[in-house]
Amino acid sequence: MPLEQSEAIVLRTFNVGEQDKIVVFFTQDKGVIKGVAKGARKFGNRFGSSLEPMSHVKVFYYEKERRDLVTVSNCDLLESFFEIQNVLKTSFTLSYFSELIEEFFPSRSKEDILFRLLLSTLQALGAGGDSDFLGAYFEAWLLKISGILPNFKTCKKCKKEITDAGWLSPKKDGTFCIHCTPQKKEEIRPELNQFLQWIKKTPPPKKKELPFTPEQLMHIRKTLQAIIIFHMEKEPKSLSCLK
Amino acid sequence: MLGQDHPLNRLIEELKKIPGIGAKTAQRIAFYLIGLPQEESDSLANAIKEAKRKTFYCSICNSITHIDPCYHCSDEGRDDRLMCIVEEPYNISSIEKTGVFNGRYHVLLGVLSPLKGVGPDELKTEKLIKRVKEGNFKEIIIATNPTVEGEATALYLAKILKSFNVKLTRLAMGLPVGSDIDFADQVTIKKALEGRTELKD
Ligand SMILES: [Zn+2]
Ligand SMILES: [Zn+2]
Repeated sequence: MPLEQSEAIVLRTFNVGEQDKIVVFFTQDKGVIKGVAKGARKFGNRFGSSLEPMSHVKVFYYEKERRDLVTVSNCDLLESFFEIQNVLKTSFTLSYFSELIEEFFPSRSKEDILFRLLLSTLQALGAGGDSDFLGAYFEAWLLKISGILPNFKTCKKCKKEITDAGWLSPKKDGTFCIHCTPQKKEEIRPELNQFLQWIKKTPPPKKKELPFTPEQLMHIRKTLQAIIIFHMEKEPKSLSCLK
Repeated sequence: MLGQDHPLNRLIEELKKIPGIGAKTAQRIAFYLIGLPQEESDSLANAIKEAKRKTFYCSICNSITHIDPCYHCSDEGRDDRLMCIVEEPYNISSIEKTGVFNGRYHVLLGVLSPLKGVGPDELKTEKLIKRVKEGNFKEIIIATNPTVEGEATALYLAKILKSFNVKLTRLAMGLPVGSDIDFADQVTIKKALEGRTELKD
């Protein structure tokens, strides 16, 4: 059994046995990996704070043949995001990110862009970035990476460019213009396209002053979350807490 | 291989539901229990039944008790001006063992945990708020675990309790006794620095 190592972000942990934890890591090179950290609940154990949610770490582990669970041998803390989770909204937002990653990318496969997205979003939050804005930023990119972010620019039916408001298709896979929409339930405002353009060119913002108003942001997130909920077939638990 | 309807299988299945007990341990315990003399296994089964039937959550502090109010709530020798808030009933015994704390307890029965669907609405704090409002507490020690969830919960409690005229404190976070500074990570050392105390002679 060779010792493997990965750069990773801890998504969550849960207790198992008397003193152990199961840790869900989002690694840069292999995606989501679950591992047992033996003795991680013992007082003064070698893992310290490195297994707390959202810790950016270098994890050392052994693969076991024909087993899903790896054995975590060591975990070095590269960057901690423990303190920023003192703010309830930030803490809940990060739980939400972690739930989304596990839901949309459950298998072991390299998701480098998503890894860098999560890390840079964490760093932006750590530098005082706005959690609502970064929430929208993360949602949009996650949907884009998953390949399920619909086209909001042209009408799904008549293929004409949507200049004003559009409506999200019932299957959340496209947009209808005002003439083609079968229902006027979920409105898509023009600022959503502007937002998607903006995030394509801009890293997660650390600043407080932002190019979109809270009201615009609310509408943007409503659409993105409708797509997330549709694909998950339920509302993420952490999202209901956030609300 | 035991059949699905084998009584031993049912026992193993029940044991497996206990947190921390896996399939192998469950099987070992089950075989041990079957090997016991009848009166010993009856006694164990009765102990489980009795414990379940006769214990409940204290109406004041949420601790597990067989008398209401519980032992800690009805003890007149304890200080009514001090409260310690813990996550789970079993946390009380860890604090009691120190012999340092002689106030009252309040058990949250959980922490904020969005991934388990526990948000501020699910964390039942009405009883706590009522106690603080009607009581005569001067200091409330928040003794949730030094984890992200425990910290978030402590800060949430601080927010909802700050309007009352009471001092809010949090258990110190830092170096474990008997450890080596070189092996502590930056968060632990930072917390220890922040929570440092003055040396007095
Ligand atoms: Zn159209
Ligand atoms: Zn009590």
